[in-house]
Amino acid sequence: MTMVEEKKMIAQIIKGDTNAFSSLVDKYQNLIFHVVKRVVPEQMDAEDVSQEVFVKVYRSIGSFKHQSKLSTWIAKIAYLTALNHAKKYKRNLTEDYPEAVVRLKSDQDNPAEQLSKKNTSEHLNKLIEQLPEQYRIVVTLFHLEEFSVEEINETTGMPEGTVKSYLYRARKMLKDKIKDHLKDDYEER
Amino acid sequence: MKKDEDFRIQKLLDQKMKGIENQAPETIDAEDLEAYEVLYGHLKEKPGQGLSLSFKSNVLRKIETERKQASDTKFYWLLGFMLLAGMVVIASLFLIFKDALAPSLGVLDKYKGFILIGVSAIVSFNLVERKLQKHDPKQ
Repeated sequence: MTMVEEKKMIAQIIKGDTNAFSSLVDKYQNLIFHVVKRVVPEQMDAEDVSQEVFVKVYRSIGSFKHQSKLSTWIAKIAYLTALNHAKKYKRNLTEDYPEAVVRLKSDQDNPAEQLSKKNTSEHLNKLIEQLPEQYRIVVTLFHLEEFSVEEINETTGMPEGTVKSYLYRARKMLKDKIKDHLKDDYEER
Repeated sequence: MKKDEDFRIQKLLDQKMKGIENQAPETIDAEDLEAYEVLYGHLKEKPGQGLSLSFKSNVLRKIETERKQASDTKFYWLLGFMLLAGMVVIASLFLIFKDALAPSLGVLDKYKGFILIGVSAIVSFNLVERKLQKHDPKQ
């Protein structure tokens, strides 16, 4: 969506055009949900928080000054709303030095775990869920939503250097685990 | 160094994502490169479980409720202001024309019972109507 189209849509929403807001929901629901789900993993909670985000967007859309892209502004609201929800309900929030705490677990004796390892995609999903929240957010925004490092900085408030560092570390951690998994897979064949 | 190699592979694949194709240097570990390629491919896929089908309608319903509440709040503020303004006007008129209005006040005093009953009937009727509307499933 171009800047002109964005401005037109926002003007229509402010006038009370429900069709314009419905278009906004269609365009940004996945972005909001992906961001929220990385902080609030439970499906129902993530949907509730996502709905709350849209209400906040509706209330404050008149104050959007076009100093950033609309997607970045909306992602920021989603991120902060999800963080508040997570803090309120005291979910796992790894903050500083996540590497000292996190060891991605893939060596399980549980047969179900062993079975899921056979599916690389499922295995990766489980590993991503184990990442610290900031790593998950950065990786999601960069790869899934194709945000630039600068846009991730605007969304999350993390300095650009930190974003790059988290991106590098998260991908390396996941790569090291997936490499072992791929090796096991080849050996089994 | 191992760290440099991870950095180089990630940089290569990041550039590839932007459409900048560079040939992988020969010194790069093929297994590492493959693992990163699998990872990058997975990271850009949408997660399995998405939003429920009713999500959008729930959002629009919440927004509609929000709009109605805002509209009702404005209406009640306006009504309150007008009532206050009306009372101020009536009180001012009374103070200015109290001598001329004295006979009217006498009439009002004489029939105050009827006036009170009338006003109470109107208010009660409105309250009962609202309650009936709440309980009526058709509305």
